[in-house]
Amino acid sequence: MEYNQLIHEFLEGTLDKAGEAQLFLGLSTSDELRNELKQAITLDKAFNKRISAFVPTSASTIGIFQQLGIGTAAGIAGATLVSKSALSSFFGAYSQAIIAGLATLAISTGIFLGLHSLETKPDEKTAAQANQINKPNTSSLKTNNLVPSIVSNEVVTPKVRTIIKYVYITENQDKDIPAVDSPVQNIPDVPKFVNMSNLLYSPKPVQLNSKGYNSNLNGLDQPIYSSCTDNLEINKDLGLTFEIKGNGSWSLPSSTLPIYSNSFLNNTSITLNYKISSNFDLGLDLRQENFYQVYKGTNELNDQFEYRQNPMYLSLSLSGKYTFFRANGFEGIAQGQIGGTATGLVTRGMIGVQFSPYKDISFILGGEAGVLTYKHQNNTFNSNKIGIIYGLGFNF
Amino acid sequence: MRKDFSKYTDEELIKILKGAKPDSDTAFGEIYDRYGIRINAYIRTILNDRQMSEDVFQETFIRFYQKVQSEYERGTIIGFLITIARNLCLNVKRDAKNTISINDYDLIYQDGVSYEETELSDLLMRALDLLDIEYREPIIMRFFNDMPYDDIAEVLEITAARARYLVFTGKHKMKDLLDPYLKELSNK
Repeated sequence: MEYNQLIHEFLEGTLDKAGEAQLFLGLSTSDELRNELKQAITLDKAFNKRISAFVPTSASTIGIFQQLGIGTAAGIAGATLVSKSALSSFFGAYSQAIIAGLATLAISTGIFLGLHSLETKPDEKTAAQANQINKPNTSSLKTNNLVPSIVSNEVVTPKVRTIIKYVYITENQDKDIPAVDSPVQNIPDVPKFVNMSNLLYSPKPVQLNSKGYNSNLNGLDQPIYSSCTDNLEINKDLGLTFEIKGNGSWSLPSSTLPIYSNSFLNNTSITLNYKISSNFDLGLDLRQENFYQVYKGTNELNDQFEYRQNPMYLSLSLSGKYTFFRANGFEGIAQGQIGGTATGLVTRGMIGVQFSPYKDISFILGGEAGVLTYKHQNNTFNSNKIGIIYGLGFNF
Repeated sequence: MRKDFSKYTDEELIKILKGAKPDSDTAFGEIYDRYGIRINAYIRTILNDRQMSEDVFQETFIRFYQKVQSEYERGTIIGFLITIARNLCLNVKRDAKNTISINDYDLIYQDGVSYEETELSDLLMRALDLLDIEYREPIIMRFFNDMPYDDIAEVLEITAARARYLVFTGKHKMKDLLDPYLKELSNK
């Protein structure tokens, strides 16, 4: 294979190991080949940079959304539409989210306190701040009636010091262009002046990263084409979710013993999940919960006893959460957990719903079944229970 | 408050888009966010005429919104959008009169002049203009639209291997055109 082809495939990320070995050997011995690679990288880098010049104009964006009659919902401030006042834009944009965040926090805290009589409250300030993380910049269009100014985002083309010689020949343009079935329809004129208060939508800002590279070049800077999408991602989430949940449970068989309640978490769990894919989260769950234990054993005199206790156990579990449907902000979730306590193995399964009125906050409600498996005098016992789970999730 | 569909897949967005308002409108907004720049890049590069490009760009998204209900069944959104944009571009070019084509070209290099990368970016567009449309289209789809070769092949109705060949050869031609500038930049 020629080196040009090797370099091309290497930059595409499709070169096999044998090809890589051949290329690297060539690179180590040939200045010319090294320059060839540098040039290829430079060219790809130029492609990457150029994409930022193609942000649609404000007129185009407005024209599309007006013609489609999309104009009632809230908009997102973007590259092409910018509010006049940064301060008013900030409060205009975030006021709903702040108020809603505080309201949901207050409601959920009330539920939490009512059901659990917790002595400690979630840190409201922190929760409110968490609700703001990774919110896209939003314009003031929906919350106040400020009329933002339209700022063109066209990139100014730098002056190029070249001499280009063209020979122009007029000819029939049909020669190379195949006919296409659907003719172009008349495109209505885009209004030059638009009432911005009717505007629904504006695109997100483009933020190309400073390098425009990925890192699969073993140290060599390599712009790749697939990095285009990554470069255009805005406010990318960390993929982390912090959940705090309470649970009310019923032992099977039912317990007549009081529950030990002077505990650290008192039938509460905290979970940190990481989004592995759009439908699956993996995380760790720390929980304190009671299990009603009934087990039999013998003493030194071989007398048989039945022991009953209802202690509170602290468990650390591996948690997997699968989202099996999404509709109108609701998500159906199934969760499995396996972990351990000082006494034995804990396994849990939960099915429920998660409601996310906003990007950063979720309400969780579900039904759960759990089993504590433990040993006493070489005999294995199970403590079973069912319960409900309710709580809040904060997405980062 | 506008719902956040940024984490939704293309397939999920299409389902919502086919559903009821206002979610369908928001889903359309998300699709516009994702692909607006890339589609604009394709149209601007193919037509090389700002005003005409804006018209075609708007028409592309309007047609997408109208056609997605009845005609979109499978495949990628970018592929569907590019197909619409491509047909519109070809029709515009076909209908245009007195088209000027460049049959001969020469980029003259002034020795000793220092060029920045931003200038190269501009030169890149000029070099793209000089490429035959057979090479230009797959290069734009690959580099600006970030499309996999299978999708490029589907839109252009060629094989994936042919698409790979056209991108490789087209890029090589561009490299030859820009050779003096690339040499200077890579020697810095």
